[in-house]
Amino acid sequence: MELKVFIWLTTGFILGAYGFFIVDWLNKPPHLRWELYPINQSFWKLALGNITFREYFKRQPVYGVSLWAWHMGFILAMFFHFLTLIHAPTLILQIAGYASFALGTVGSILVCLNRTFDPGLRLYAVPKHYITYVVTFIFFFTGALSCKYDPGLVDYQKFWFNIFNTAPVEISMLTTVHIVLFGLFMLYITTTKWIHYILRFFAHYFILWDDRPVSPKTAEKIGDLMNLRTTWNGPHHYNGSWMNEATRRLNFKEDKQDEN
Amino acid sequence: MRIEDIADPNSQEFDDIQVLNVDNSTFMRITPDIFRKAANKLFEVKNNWPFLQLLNHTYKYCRKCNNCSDRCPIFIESGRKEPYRPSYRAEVLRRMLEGRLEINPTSLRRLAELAYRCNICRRCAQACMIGADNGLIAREIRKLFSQEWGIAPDALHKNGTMKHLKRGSSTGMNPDGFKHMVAYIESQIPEYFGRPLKIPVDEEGAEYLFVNNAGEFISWPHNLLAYTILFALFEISWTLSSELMAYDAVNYGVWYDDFQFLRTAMKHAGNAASLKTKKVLIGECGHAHKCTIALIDRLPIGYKRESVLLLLEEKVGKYRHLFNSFANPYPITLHDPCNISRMLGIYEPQRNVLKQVVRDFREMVPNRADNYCCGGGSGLAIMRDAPIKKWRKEVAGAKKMKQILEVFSDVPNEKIKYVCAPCSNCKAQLRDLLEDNTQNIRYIGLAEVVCNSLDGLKKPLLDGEL
Repeated sequence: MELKVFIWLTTGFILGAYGFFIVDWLNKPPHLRWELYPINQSFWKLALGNITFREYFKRQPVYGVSLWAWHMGFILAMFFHFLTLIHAPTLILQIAGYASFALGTVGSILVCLNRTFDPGLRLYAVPKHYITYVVTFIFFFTGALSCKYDPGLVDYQKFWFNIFNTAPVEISMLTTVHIVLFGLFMLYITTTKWIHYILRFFAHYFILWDDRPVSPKTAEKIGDLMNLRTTWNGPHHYNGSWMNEATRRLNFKEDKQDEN
Repeated sequence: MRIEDIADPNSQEFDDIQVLNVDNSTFMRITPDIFRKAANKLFEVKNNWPFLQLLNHTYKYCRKCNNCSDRCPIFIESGRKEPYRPSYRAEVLRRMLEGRLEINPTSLRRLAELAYRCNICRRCAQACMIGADNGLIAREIRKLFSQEWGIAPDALHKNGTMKHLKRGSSTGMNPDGFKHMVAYIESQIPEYFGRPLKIPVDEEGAEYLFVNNAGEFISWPHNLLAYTILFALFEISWTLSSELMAYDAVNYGVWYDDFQFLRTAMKHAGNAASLKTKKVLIGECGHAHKCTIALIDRLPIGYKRESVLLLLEEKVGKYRHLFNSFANPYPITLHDPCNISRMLGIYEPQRNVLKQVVRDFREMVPNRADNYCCGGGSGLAIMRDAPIKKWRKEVAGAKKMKQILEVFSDVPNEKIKYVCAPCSNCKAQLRDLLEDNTQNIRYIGLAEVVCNSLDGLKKPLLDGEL
């Protein structure tokens, strides 16, 4: 029962955190038009990018393979848990689960090796990168181990079938450990930037591909923003509102400096 | 090298050229606390609302995967020097703000300088799966130094936006100078067209107020001459304006300072209203296109704008019988200015025009929204000091030069070839790129090519000199 509560809480936590990140992103003021063509590419092409990793295979094939395996591990893990919830046939669960844990385990090793040995990637590495690789490796590897000792995923199905009720469920220690790690993994995700998987759609549709005519609501918002008082200190600024700065007469501080 | 080398005065990777002409003493007053406080303004709604959304997205979510690196012609042609990697500047800023990189006069000066080793062509952003834009970060760093401490290249600020706002043009041309220039160009028209034409100035109620980069009038007067002839034949009602700033459509603020950009844009808007024209017609200037068509679109500046490229496409199609492509026998290729193609999506109109007036039109590869920058983008083309000019030619513009040589590789050296560039800034860069070429490759604006194909022209524009 405690395990179920733990999973409910961690799931609620990640959903809440992601909701917060999304609202925070959307609450930012409207961007000036800053398109990047070609725009209006299909939604499906953008969405498929999450799976095909075409841009990486074109330019960094080795790293592309590593990233693809790693990301497919995550995607299939999500898919696998969804399948268990909807009581999908065991064979399909096995395919999704085995593939997820295998790709995720191999992927987390490969991205770690890439990040360590590629001079360009290593330069930009920070400790958090390696912590993430270790955390994901542990999650996927324990998943793979639990598959090895429970090939039919019986314990998994037992747990997830009963996730929405309060009945006690008996599962093996290894599967329990993996499910605990799954919960911790979800908590850890909120400290990473993995929400880029979702926010990339916003960046494209609300900035890079946004050539919609100005709506009255946007015009009103920008009118309000033009009245905000700025605090930049450059010699050609005088801390007025954006509108005042934009329309003021030319007697900037730097003119006075020139005169002096 | 390491990211941290930027703070090491002994590092050899950074100080090959300078556009800011300031030494470390300028940055002595900027302590780490002062810098962080100022840089945080970039992330405040009140101080940076126009670009906050994408800045925040890029700053927070860039995964440092370097997939954008190979899209950057400067990074590639520099020999893959780390400071020129699109993500390098952003990472330096990130580490400085997180306290993981030393903030000292050396690192600040180099960061400010590195912001001007990018053409802000945004080719890197096209490769980013998450929609991060490291080109924007370069611009934000420029803004930080300019808006907080007034540190910006003289070519852009003192001799750019300030001159524009005070004297009417970044070229220094005042309204009287402009009128003299127009009179001179007008006097040349009969030699080419066979009869005089008036260049309308300050005519109220015309359909179009034609605005162009004032540098065009001085360096490439053929361009206005060609438009005057074409507009007359197309029976277009148009005018120029001699109002302060209205005869110079540039807005250097878009490259380094939001307030200078806004001031210029607001003045342009006032000028557009004063002559009661129906529309403002933007001439062959890339950043004037981006600024006037896109950047100001959501601001409380209401006037109708149109690209001259779209108008040419419509009129050349309608008046097809006036043109004879045999008058343009030269192999001609088209350079896509980033601000017009990648940032506005205007790339077919100019092709449709050229294909009708040119016999041997050739495409460089890649092209359209995938093009390479000329190497002079984001203000670099107007920085004329010898070291930066050399760098523009040998690094920033090297990809473009290779493309040009490739597209004409099957044409004998003695035969004249043209690169058509509908952008004043790109032409300034092409002038430098092509100055030493022995293959007879020249550059030209779009209007000149179109006008040159007119039946009955008395003197060709493509070979002549004013």
